[in-house]
Amino acid sequence: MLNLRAFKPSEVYIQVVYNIQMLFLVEEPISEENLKKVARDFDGYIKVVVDVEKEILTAGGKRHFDGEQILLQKGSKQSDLWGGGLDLETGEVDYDSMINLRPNQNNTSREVLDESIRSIITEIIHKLLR
Amino acid sequence: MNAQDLTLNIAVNMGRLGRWVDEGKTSRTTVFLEETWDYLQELEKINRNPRFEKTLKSFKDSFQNLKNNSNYDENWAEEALTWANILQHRAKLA
Repeated sequence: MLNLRAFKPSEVYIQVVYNIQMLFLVEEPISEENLKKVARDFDGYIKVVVDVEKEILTAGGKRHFDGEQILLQKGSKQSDLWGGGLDLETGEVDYDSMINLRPNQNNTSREVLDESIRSIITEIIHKLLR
Repeated sequence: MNAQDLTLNIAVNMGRLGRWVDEGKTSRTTVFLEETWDYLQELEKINRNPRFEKTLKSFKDSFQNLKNNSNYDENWAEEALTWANILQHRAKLA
């Protein structure tokens, strides 16, 4: 049985799926309580998909694909979405995801290659998940 | 090798495994899973920072699931790549 709770509108709770994954759409700085929830899936490491244009992100879950789908359904453009992670243990951000492989945007790696996009991703992550 | 070196070796192997599985190249999977398992066992025998213990336990649980799951699909690949990232970050804590 799912235990759905009330969340602030800015922290839309998306789903609890198999394996008790927690995935949130985050449009304003997340609460400490919900930050802990999204960090559970990987022991303090949070998978994120960032919309660098709308400056929102999804946090948590086990696959970037799930976060990407939520943002696309919300109207994000594929070309604005980049996957990565935030490690709460070390404070490090990474820019590594299978959804980043987009040769048509000159990104031929799972890592985000463009330094300016990396900077935007870092800024949005720090703004919304700290 | 010390705990940090072993953790980084495991991280590199998890990255290799994730990439290969994602690309459908599974012929070397067994060999590298075994090598990673050896690194993990070596890591468990040496002195480590207590701050790293929770990460090590979580990784070991996940790794055993991956090792026992020969359904090499995109979920397998993504989990391996995620642990590659986590261990790369946290090697400094080991």
